[in-house]
Amino acid sequence: MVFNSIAFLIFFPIVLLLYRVIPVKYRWIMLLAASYYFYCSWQADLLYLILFTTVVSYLCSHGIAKTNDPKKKKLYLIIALVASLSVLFFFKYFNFLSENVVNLLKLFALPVSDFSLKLILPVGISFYTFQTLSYVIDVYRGNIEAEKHFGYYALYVSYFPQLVAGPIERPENLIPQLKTDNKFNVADSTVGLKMMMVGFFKKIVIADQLSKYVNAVYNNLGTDADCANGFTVVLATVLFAVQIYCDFSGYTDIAIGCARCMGIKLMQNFNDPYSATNIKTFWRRWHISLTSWFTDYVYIPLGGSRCSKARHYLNIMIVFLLSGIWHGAAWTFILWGVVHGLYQIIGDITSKPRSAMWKKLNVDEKGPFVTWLRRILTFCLVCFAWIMFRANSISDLGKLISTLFTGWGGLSISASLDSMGLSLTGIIITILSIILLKILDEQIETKAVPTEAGKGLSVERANAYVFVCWAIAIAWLILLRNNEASSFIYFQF
Amino acid sequence: MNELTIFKSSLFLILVLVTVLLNTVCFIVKMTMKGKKVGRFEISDIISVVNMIVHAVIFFGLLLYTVFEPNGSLISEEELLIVMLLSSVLSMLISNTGREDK
Repeated sequence: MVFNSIAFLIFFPIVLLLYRVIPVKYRWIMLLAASYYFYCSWQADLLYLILFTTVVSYLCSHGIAKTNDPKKKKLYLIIALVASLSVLFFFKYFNFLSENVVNLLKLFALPVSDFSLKLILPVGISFYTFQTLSYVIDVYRGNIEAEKHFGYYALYVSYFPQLVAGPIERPENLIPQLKTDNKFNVADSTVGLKMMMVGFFKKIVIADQLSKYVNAVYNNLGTDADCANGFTVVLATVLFAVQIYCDFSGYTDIAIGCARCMGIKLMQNFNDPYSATNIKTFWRRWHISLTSWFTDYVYIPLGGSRCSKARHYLNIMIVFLLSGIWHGAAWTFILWGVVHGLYQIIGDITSKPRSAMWKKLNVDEKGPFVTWLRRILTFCLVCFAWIMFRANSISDLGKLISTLFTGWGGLSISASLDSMGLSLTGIIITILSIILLKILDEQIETKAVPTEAGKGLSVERANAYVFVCWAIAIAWLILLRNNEASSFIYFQF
Repeated sequence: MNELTIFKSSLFLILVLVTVLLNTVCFIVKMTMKGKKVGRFEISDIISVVNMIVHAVIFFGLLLYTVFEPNGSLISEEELLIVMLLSSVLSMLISNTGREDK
């Protein structure tokens, strides 16, 4: 059951209604049942995995809380980590690893045959695994107390709005809210519905519309429909940057909006990432819950930046390598992570010389010129890395990169646009959608939300939202008619 | 060309003009008649509601026609989307103008 489906549009109001009707004492039962039903609508046969991870982490956290022996505490922690990570590893990385081991052995002319298991990647496994890990580690560190009520803990792991694609919530934020008697209030509902609307707009009007142009370039390499040249690769990559942002942040907005309608505040996951003036800031604004997870549970325990320069850079590389692997079992994702790690390290090394250069040129480093230059450069670097993220294989990546640098001879822009299926109508829709996206995003980020929450919507603003809803309805109709409605990109992680 | 063909080919432009015109009226009324009321309601709110109703009537009609008469549709869904996006952008900008929190 994806958010952008009729089934969800029926499911959510029913859950919301039951949430308001059922006494607070029993709400967790309804929410847990709804969350498991939501998960089962994807993969009922893999529900046992989420149950297994939940039970093991619950028991281990209790073991940690009950004992005073540091060795036993550590043992329980290791059991929880091994159990959760081995499930993740087996389903997500086993085939990738076996394939690479076989290829490596073949390089040495050893007699090995291909070996892979028919495994289905469980939806949202990376998200809920990380959520259980953060809980057990926090209990071990003494940051939080172990949750006694199994029902609330199971609900924390499987709470349906953020179950399959985050945000990766922290126990100290979500569990107390699940227990609170969140009474209905207009402000929360207004903000929640508005965020859901913005999320649907991002997904249906922008991401799904752009995906067909991106796919035309990235999915047809080496086929008769191959339309890759320097221009189309650049354009498709820029459009992919917008697509993945709208797809993922759209999902997050809907998730946050759903929870907000129940009075539950999930953490922010995006903060205008493409306005970042360097890669470091980009990662503070993109997938914030994952970045903060890696910071708290990997980067800082490794020593963070409070160590030698070499060690600091190694820590950065480890974190980004893990981030790449987390996204998927493919060399393209690993390369994407490594490139982002290198960006950060190079950015740190060149930071002082760049400042000295601006001083020498007598240009204000914090002025609009340098700020915009940095924004554009950061966006270009991020887009270059997106090529690795989006490429279907390493060989495709090689073709795309070589086309990017060599495929500029004798190309016709109008023919290139035609080959991508991008008509004048498509261009106008894309431009208007992006302008509207910018306005909607700013409204979420500025003071407009609390003001509206306090005073209620003005007639003009309500009018504007009605128009956005119309646009969503029409775009949805187009997708349904052409069978182009798609799942969210981050569901595969 | 018969009259229907001319109407079909120019319907998109007519809708764009209607949208721009309605939103311009909303903007002018908002700027010039701030706080003025007819009975209990502010004039700018009334114009906004009129804008919304006009759009709803036009678009609901056209959308139904497009869905149920795909071969003889007056306008494509993509063109409808363009007009609605344009209307959303304009009305968002109007509602943002003069907000206290901006």
